[in-house]
Amino acid sequence: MTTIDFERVSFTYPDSSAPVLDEATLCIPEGSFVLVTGHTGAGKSTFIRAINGLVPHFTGGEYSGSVTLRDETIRNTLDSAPRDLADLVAFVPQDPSAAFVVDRVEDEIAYSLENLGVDRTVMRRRVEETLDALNIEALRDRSVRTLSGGERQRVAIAAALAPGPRVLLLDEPTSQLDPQGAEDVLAALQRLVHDLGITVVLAEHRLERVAGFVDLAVGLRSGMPVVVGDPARVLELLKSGPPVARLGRLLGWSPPPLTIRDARRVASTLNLTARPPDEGVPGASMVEATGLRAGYGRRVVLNGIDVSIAEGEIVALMGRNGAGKTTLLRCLCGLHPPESGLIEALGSAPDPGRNVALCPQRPESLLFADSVSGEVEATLSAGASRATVATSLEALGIAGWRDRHPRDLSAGQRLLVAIAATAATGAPLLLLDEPTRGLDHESKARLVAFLRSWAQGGRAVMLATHDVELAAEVATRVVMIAAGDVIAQGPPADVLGDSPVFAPQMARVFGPGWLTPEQVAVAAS
Amino acid sequence: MRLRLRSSLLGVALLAGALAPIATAEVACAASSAALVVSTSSNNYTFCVELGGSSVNGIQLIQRAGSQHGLQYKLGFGGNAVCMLANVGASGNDCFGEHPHFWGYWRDNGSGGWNWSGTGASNVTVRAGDTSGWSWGTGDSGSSHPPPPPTTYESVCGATPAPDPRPKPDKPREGHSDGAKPKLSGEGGGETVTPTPRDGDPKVADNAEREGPKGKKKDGDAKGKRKDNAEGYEVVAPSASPSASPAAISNPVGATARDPDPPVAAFAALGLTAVLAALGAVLVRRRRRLEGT
Amino acid sequence: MHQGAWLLWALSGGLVAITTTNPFYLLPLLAVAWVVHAACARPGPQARSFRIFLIFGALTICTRTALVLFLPDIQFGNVVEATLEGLRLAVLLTVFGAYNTVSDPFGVLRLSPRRWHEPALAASLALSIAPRTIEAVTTVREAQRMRGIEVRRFRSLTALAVPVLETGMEEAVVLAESMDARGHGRGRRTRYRPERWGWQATIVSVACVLAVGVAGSALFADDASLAMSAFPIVWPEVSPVMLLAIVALSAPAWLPLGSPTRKSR
Repeated sequence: MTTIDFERVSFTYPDSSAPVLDEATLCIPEGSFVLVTGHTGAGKSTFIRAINGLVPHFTGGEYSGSVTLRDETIRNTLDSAPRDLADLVAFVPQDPSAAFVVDRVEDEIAYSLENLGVDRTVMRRRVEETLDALNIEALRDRSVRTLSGGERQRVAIAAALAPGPRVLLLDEPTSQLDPQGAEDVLAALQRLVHDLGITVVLAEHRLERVAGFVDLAVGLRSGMPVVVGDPARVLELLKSGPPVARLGRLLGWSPPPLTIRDARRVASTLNLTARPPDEGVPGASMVEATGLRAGYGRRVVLNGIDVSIAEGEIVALMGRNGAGKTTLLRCLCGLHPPESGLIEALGSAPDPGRNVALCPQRPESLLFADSVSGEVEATLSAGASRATVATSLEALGIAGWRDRHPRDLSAGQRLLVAIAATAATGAPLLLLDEPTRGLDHESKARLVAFLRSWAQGGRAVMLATHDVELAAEVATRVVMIAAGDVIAQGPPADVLGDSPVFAPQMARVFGPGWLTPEQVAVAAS
Repeated sequence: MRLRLRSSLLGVALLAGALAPIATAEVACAASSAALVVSTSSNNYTFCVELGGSSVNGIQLIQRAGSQHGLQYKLGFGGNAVCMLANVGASGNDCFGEHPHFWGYWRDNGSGGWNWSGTGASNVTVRAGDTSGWSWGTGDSGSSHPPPPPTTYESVCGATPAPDPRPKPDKPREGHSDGAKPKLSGEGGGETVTPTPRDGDPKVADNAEREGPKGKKKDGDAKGKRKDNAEGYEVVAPSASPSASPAAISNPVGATARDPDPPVAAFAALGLTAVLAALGAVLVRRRRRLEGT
Repeated sequence: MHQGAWLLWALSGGLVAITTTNPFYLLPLLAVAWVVHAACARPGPQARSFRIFLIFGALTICTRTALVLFLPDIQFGNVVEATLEGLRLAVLLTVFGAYNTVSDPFGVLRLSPRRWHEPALAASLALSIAPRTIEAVTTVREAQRMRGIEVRRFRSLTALAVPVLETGMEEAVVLAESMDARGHGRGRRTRYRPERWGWQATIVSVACVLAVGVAGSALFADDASLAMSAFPIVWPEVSPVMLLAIVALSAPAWLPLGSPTRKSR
C-alpha cells in the first residue's frame, strides 16, 4: 500500500522561465483512483512524471522539494532514478505505439520483467496473469504494429502492470479511443483499484468519461496553487467538468453532479419544455460521393458507401476505431484514390488545397515555421487564397499568438494553429481528422466557435471524431459508419440520442433529443 | 512456408540455368599473337607470343614469352623494369647494375623498323600484330642505343592474324586517340583486325600509348601513378601498394597458362544478377499485396 | 532467425563487398542483398527503409564519380575507376540496408553484453527510429499537400524536413522515456523467451563463413579477378567460385525462417 507525498515540489523546465509546478504539496492516499486535470500546459504531464522520477531525472530542469513514495520501503524520487522505481511505479505514455519496444505483444509485456531480472518461471506466470487481467489473451502472438488503438492501449497497460507495481501512471489514456474502448480501459483500471489496491493516477481531458470513476482529483492551474480533493469540488474550482457538471452550474445545483446517476436524481425535479426542433435546411450540395469502395491492398475498408455534404453543414463522422473514418476522409480529399465509386467536390474531382483541405490528426505533421503567423503565411503563399494572416488567426481566436513559436504551444493550442493553417487555403470544404487530442475546454470552445462561423458563407466541415460531446454540441448532421458501411445518418439528436455507446450525457439523463447542457438549461427556465 | 519452398526451387532452377553457360562454353579464341625480338650483343631471338584474346603490357609480353617459349628473364624495380633477358644483363635487383649497358625497349614503326619507346614497358599496351623489341647496349635514346635488327611481324609469327569470326559492333575506336594509333602491321595488307573481346566491348583507353611529354606528365599525376603498377591491371584492393606487386608477378604466369574467358563468366554473373533481381521484385510485390500497402 | 546470425550475415556481406571492385561480383552481391530483403524483411514500415539505402547508394556512386571530374588530367579510366569504387560503397550500403530491414534492433540489444549496453541501446534506438521517420515522411508530405504546399521543389524542403525530424525526435524521446520508466539498464537481465539458434542460423552462418573465406583467400592471393582494370578497360576475370560464394550469401532468402509474429486478425 503506497502513499505518494508531494512536499513543496517546484519545477521549471530547462529553457523556460516560469515554473510549471510551484510549491505543490499534497498527499495521495493508498489505493486511490486519482484524476489529474487542468487545461493543457498547466502541468498535468509534469505532475505525473514527477511521481516516477522522470521529472527531473529524464527532463532536466530546476527542481526543488521532494516526492516520497511510502511503501514497505520509503523511496524518494530525487535519490532514485526512474529505472530504480520501475518495480513500484509504472508509466503508460499518451501514445503507446511510439513506446513499444519489441514486436510481439507477449514479449512487450515481458519487457519490464526482463529488465527487473525476474526469474523465468515467475515471468511466465506474471505474463499469463496480466494477459488475463486485461482480457487480451487472444492478442498474445500479434505484432504490436497491427493492433487497433484500443488494443494498443490495453497492451501498454498490461506491459506496465506486469511487474506488479503499486502505482500506475497514465497520461491521457483514452484520447485515441472510441467510447467503447475508453469504457473498457477505464473499467479495467477501476478493477485494478478496487481489487488489487493499486493507486491509479490518470491525466485526462475527457472528463465525462472518467469523472464517475475517480475518488480524488488534482487540479492544476498555471500560476496558481494546486488543488486537491473531492472531484466535484476540484472541478468546480477549475470551472470545468463533464456536461452534467456544467448543467449543474448553469442551474445552480451545488454541488454539481459528476455522474449520470447523480444527475438523474436531481433531474427528476426539473420541468422541461419541449425539445427544441432540429434546425436548418441544408444548402446546395457541395460533395457527393457515391458507391465508394476503398481499402489497402486486399483489405476492404469502405464497402460502397454514399456520402454527401451540403453547404453550411457541420458533419460529424463517427464510428469505432478502424471503421474507416480516416479512409473516408482521405478519399474525400483526394489522397486515397478509391477502387470504385465517384467523388464530386464542387463539380469536379477533389483537389487538395483548392476545393478540399484536410487537417491531419497530428498537427506536428504540419508545423514547420518559426511563428504562428509564419505558418499561415506559408499556406497563403503556396496557394491562391484570398485570406489574410489576420483573418485566419482571428477566426480561431488565436490572433494573440501570432509571434509565438508553434512548438512552444501546448498540444491543444498547436491543433488550433494547424487548423488555422489549413483553413487559410480557402478551400470551402474543410476536413478534420480527430481534432480532439489534447484539446482542453478552452481550446474546444474556440474550435466550436470557429466551426460554426466557418460553416456559414457557402462552406462546410466534416470532422471525424470520437468525442460525443463535441459532436452533440456542434454537428448539424452525424454520419455513423461501421464495418465499411454507413449505418446511421441524420441530425445528432436522432442518431446519438438512443445509442448506448454514443449518446451524450444530456441524452442519457433526459432522454433522446437532448444534446447540450445549454439546451437543457434554456428549456428548464 | 510454402512460399519459401517454392521460391527456393524456382531459384535453384534458374540459378542452374544461369550457370550453364560457364559449363558449356568452349574456350574459343581468335588467333592472336604478338612478336617479340630480343637482341643481345651476340645473339638475336624472336618469339611469337600467344596473347589469348587479351592485351598485355610490355612486361607481360616477356613473361608470356617466358612461359610459352622458355625465354629467360629477370625483372626488377618492383617488376617494372627488365634487368636480364636470355641470361644477359644485370643479375641483381638493380637493372642498371651493368651501367652503361641496359636493355632498351623498342616498338615497331609499322614498316619493319623500330621506334624507341619513351614510356616504360609496363605502361605500354601490346596487342595482337604488334612487334616489340629489346636490345642490350649503351645509349640513352633511340639515336644512340643500338636497335634490334629490322624484323616484321610476319617473319616471326607467319600470316597476319585471322579476322575475328564473330560480328563486331562498329566502334570508332581509333578516332579518339589521335596520333596514338596502335601499331598494326601495315604490310601483308588486308584485313588487319585487332582482336577484341566479344560483343559489347568496352572502349580501350589508349592512354598507355601516348608518348612524349603528355605521357610523362601522366606518370606524375596521382591517378596516373596507378599505371606504374607491375601489370597495368589495377589491384584496387586495400593492399594496393607497390609492395603487393612482387607477389603479383608470380600470378600472371599461372593466369596466362589458364587463360580464362572473361566474357562468358561475366555474362553468367549478369544473368545471376538479373535472376535474383527479378525474384526479389516478385517477392516484394507479393509482400506488398499481402500487407495491403 | 537468430539475430546473431543476421549480424554475421551483414558483416560477411560487407566484407565481401569491400574486397572487390569487380562489377561482375558487386552486381550479383547487390542482387543478393535485394533478394534477402525481399524475402525476409520484417513486415511494416521497417521494410520500406530499404529504398532509402538504395537511393543513398546511387547518390554515393554519383558523388564518387563526380569527384573525379575535378582532376586536371582526366581520362576515361579514372571515371570508370571512380564509378567502381562508388559501386563498392553502394553495395556495402545496400547490404546494410537489407540488414536493417530484417533485423530486430531490440533483439540485437538483448544480445549485447552489459558493458556495451549504452552504445547498443543508442544503436537500437537509431535503427528503430529510421523506419518510423520514413513513415513520417509520407504523412508529412500528405499533410503539407493538404494545405497546398507541394513538397517537391527544393524550397519547400523545410516544410518536409522540419516536421519529420521533429516528429522523429519526439518519438525518440517518448521511447527513451518509456524505456527508462520500465527499468531499462537497471541491472541483471533475464530473458523471457531465449532466442533459439535454429538449423537455419547454422546453415546461414556456414555459408557466410565460406563466403568470407573465399573472398579473403582471393584477397590474400591477390586474385586478379577482384579488381577490374581501368587502364586499359578490359573484361575482368570472373571466378565461378567467387560467384558461388556470393550466391551462398543469399541463403537466408531460400530457407524457411518462420514468421516472427502473426499478422492477421
